[in-house]
Amino acid sequence: MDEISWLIWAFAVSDAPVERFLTKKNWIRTISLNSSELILLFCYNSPDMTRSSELRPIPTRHPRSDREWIESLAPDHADFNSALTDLREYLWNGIRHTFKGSGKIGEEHLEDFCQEALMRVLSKRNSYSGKSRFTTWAMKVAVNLVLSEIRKKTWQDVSLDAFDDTEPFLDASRGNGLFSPQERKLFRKEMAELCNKLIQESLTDRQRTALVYHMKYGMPLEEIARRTGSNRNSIYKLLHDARMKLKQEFERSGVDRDDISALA
Amino acid sequence: MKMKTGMKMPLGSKHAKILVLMAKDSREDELDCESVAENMDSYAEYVLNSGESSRLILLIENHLKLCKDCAEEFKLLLGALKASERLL
Repeated sequence: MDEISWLIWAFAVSDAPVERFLTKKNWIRTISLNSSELILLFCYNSPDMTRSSELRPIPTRHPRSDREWIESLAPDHADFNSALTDLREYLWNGIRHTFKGSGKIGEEHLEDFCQEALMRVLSKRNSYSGKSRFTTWAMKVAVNLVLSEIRKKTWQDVSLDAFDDTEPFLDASRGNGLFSPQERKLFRKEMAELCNKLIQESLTDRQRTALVYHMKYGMPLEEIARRTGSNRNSIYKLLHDARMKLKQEFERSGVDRDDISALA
Repeated sequence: MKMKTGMKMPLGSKHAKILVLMAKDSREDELDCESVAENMDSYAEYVLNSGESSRLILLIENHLKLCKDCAEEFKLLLGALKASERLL
């Protein structure tokens, strides 16, 4: 069965909205057919499935155990198509609900990413360790893939020249009513000088650069890693070491957390 | 290295404050992103089902407080799980 035939079958035997079954060949969206018409179209397009006896019955939804999920997602398993349909529907529903309307990406890309996520879950299913339910694990894999793709797409063409690193370190006009304007101004000025000094003197150039791009400009760790030829874990470690160093320096300098909080 | 280095005035006021607070929450035995990613699904179930806390849970929570990338991913995972829950 080719992909389109499978999609038509999957739609016809389920009660899911047609958009659940869109793929890169998203021509289905442009037509409006009811289930019977789709079955007919499907039969015309799939000579090997034209006999009604070969049409699978509508699958009965029952909660699969984790073991059943793993077993039925093996391509040669009798329940493979049904399990695949259910898993895709499950992932698509979560992904669409979570990412649609985020403004970060168009729905057509989401569909592609969801399809990729399904493939990744299938290819990685043997690494499922059973720490959580299979569906929770599968959703984790899917969300990770989609978010990584969105981050990559968002940042891949961003030029670092667009960033302005001359923003004043502290803005003395901000603060709440806990301090008088004079106290607040003085405290902010002192904090500004101290933080500036510690960041400049205590951190390595790599630590400072990663920290600024991540904290100030919101560049994801993966993107910093991509641009520096590193990996996400190493960048996290770099920032962790920077934070630990600053923690020591702040403690040595008597910086009090409560004072900082009060200046929100 | 395709990054600008040698910045003189790195952070604005709100980021400087966040940095101080993050430094205070930093610890030697932090989990890295890879370890958190590995356990994010079981942590999600812990959160959704109000499970029993453990040292691992505390370390994951500490990491999510310090790593906004993982925190964003976790938030999206929770949203996706809640949205799809009715299908199971």
